[in-house]
Amino acid sequence: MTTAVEESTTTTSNTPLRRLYPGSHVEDTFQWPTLALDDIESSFSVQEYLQQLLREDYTDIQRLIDLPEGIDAEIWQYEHLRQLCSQLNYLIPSLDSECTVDSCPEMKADGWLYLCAAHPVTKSCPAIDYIVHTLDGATMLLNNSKYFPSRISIPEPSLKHLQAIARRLYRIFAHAYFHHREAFEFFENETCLHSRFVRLSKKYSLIPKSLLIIPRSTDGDEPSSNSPTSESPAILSRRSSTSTVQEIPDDTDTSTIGAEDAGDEDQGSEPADRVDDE
Amino acid sequence: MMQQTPQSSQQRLLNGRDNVMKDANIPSNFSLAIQSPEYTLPGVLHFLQQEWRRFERERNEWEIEKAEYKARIALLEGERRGFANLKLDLMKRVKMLEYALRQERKKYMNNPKARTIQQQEEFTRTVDSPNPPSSPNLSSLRDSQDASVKLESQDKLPAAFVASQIDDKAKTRSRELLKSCLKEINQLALSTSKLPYTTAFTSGLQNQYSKITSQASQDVQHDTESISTLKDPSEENKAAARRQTPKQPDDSMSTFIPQHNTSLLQDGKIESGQQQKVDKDNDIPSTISDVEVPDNVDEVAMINNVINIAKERKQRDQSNPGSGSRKGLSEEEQLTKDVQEKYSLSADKVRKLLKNAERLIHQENNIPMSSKDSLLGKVDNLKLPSEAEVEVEDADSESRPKMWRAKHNLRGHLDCVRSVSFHANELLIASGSDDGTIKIWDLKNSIVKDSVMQKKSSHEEMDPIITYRGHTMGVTKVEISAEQGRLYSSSLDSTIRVWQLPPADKSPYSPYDSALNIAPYIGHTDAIWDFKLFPTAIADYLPLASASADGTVKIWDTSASGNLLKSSWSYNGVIDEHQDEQRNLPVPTSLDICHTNLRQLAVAYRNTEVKVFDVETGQIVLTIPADPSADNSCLTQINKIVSHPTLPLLITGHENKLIKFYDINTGNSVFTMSAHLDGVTALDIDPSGITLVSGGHDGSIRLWDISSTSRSCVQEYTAHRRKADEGVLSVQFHKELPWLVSGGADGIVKAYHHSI
Ligand SMILES: [Zn+2]
Ligand SMILES: [Zn+2]
Repeated sequence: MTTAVEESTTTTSNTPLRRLYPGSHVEDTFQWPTLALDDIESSFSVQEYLQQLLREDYTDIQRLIDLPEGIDAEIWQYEHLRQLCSQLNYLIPSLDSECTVDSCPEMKADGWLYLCAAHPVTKSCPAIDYIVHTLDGATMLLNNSKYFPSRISIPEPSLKHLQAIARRLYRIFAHAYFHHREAFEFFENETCLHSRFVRLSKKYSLIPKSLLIIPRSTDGDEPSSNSPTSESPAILSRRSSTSTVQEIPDDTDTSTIGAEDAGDEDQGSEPADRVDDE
Repeated sequence: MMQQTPQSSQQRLLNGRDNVMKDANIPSNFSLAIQSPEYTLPGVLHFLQQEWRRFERERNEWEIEKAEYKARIALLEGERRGFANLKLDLMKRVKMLEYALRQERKKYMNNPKARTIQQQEEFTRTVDSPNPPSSPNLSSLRDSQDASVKLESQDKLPAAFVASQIDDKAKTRSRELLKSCLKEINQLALSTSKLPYTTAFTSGLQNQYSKITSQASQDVQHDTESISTLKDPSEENKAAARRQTPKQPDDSMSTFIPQHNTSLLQDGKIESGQQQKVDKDNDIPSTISDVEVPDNVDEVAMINNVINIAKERKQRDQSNPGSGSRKGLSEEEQLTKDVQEKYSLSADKVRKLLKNAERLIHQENNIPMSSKDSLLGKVDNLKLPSEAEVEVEDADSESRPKMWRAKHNLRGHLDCVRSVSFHANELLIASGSDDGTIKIWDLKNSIVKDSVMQKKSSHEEMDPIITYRGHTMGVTKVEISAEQGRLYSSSLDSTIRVWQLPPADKSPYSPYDSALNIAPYIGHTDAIWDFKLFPTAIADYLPLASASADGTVKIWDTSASGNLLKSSWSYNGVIDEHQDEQRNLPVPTSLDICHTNLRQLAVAYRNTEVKVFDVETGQIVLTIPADPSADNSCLTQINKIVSHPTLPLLITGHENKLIKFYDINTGNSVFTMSAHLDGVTALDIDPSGITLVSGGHDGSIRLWDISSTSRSCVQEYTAHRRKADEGVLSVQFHKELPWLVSGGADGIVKAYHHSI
């Protein structure tokens, strides 16, 4: 059958179409011809281009991060974050067997405790809840046509959301790294997602370096020195109430229909204790 | 204002001269210019002014272009409204004629006994009289009808009937036609059983069962008049539309009548099916079916009223810039603002913005249904028949008066939505995506909100009530089992996963519950592309059939917890233990349960053969030979197969643009049509079996009236933007409610409601 596919694609049409054909073997899916960015005609050209780069070599991080000519840097970050969320969907299944309410009742990483802002009032969620809520919230925010109406340029006021999203998604890696190392490394081997994300964040200053707490041998400049600390509820509540690091104004989402809690787009979480201002 | 801006901006520039020198934030290229010795302050100022003028000029051009586009939008919207009204009228008229013929035929075939024609005569008068402009055309219609029908009717009808009533035949027809049209509308209305105005319909139906007298027919006349008064004041387009009506029905009738004469012979299967259905409807005593008319007429008035209200509301929404075109506007504004604010940026940047802007405009024009209602969709629809090689007249004559309109754009997936599925009785939608997730959307909440704030755009953001993560690759197919309260999903990762539906009161950010993830079905060794739950138990279990690229179709026991896999069939039937050359056989691409025999499963293979398996034994009951146009490759393969809910009919959607109809008893190809401009990816049939919906990689969704012999396209619209070379990927009717859902490469799930 494979041969039939190849024959037909080479003979019947000059350029094989970039689509999935039901019935195809999994190794034949997404075996699409490489196109130059300018030749990708669709409204999703940047996403397609990024996914094409990933298919070609997901380990060549520099090539993935480098801003292609003709693309807005903001859009490039935006599409990277969408791709990040998309791929993080595949990390959760490997976490949810071991990251439970019992094993991780709080979202911690290396002495930090993160509060979940997917709720009307930020609160401490169990790690797995935090991860799911954060990913859900980031996905919905990235899909919100009010903040991100176009795949070609990003309104100035929405840029801060990219940073907030990156900051929060990073905590998922941090928790996995410090509490579920095996799953983290397995996933990282398969995707290089963390390395890519960190490189992206550094290049575009999405996350302050001081908050990058996962020590890196290859991409990180230097392993951050993490002084282990203890979490005290008092500090937590103070932090969450002051919200000094919140960049997203609460009044931005007044009219989201169907969003039972408007806070879903405002999920700023608070690192407790050793708070480096973001 | 446009003329002023260059000056005012210059002014500002001059005023800000000092600041330019000191401001630490001045853009780098300017600071460079100032520092370099060759540039004097006047020189810099001159340069700045030049730059300003240039940007302002560009901005002006922008503004003008924007205004032009706005004007064009307004124009097109006006046109669209005109078309919509015209079409509605035509469809109504034509629908009546069509049903009249159908019933006529049925009557003369099965039930030659004459009815009380005098009453019918009066009805036809009432139909004609309130509508003087169209009566000449009606009479010409009548003539043509008489000419063709007299032939058959004279042999079959009792002599007395023929002798006394020949003159009234046309009126009889008109009356019949009105009656059946109304019956149809009534059915449609009843099918929207959860909508508020249904109660009005049903109560009206019961109230008005009374003996027919001439007085009753006067009432009818009154009612029909009320129809026109309801219509007329609404908009002048209506009148224009009516003025144009005379042509169309004439055309349609002339092609229509011969077609039906032949259809009796050629299309026995479908016709008999229809007749069964009609018979059922007519089981009520003839007196009652006669008196149905007045109350139905009343319903027409009400329906028109509802339609008009809906239309007006729509128009209000459209004229309100906040709704449909908001996206486009905000983008334009944003870009203009960019140019304005970022004047200090390089010319390259501005060029880029402008280029983007062009692209945006291009995009905007390509998404008619989603953001601008069905503006272009309607236009496309009108010109569609020539494209799709369907006759114009047929397309109109067979159309149904229900038009699907986009109600919700559900954005939440990060990549192509490859499958969508409705809950059997609730307004829950499941969607599976290349991003590896399945999301459940609940339209209930939004409907309540809709009625509260009708002014609001219906395309607002909505969160899924839950996102399921568990597959390790893209999701290919989802299906909700209402009975079991479960969701099934298949993936490229070779597994089928089973999920518990969340509790009804679940909020989006409630605690994660891993217990919702029930054990996966493991057994396939390659991507699973399609599966189907059986509606009823076979033997003692509720089966699920799956088709995989590993070459097999497997049957799973969804009720067991231990050994789930019941059987496994290859292209050649049941697999022996040592048979492992499956990879060289054609792979299954899609499957469906034969609704006329729930123990049979139809499986389409890549070589376009279709095999019907007996589920219990695994025996191949029927093999439909490959389509002659197919070449065994994925470029001609069947992407989707569906079985008709009531007729022994299989319908296949092909990668080479075809939709084919097969008789499931004989395996013969009954009908073939070139349905899309690109591969057909998605098919579904509405529960009544009358409408087929298809989606294609061309990004469009088309609705087909498959109760007619021509299978004409009754509606077409661009539903999803293309990503890579993919467009619409999935489409499904709700089984009970007048809703339709589609998913596509643009990652958006769209829900449509039909317009009555
Ligand atoms: Zn954990
Ligand atoms: Zn939470």
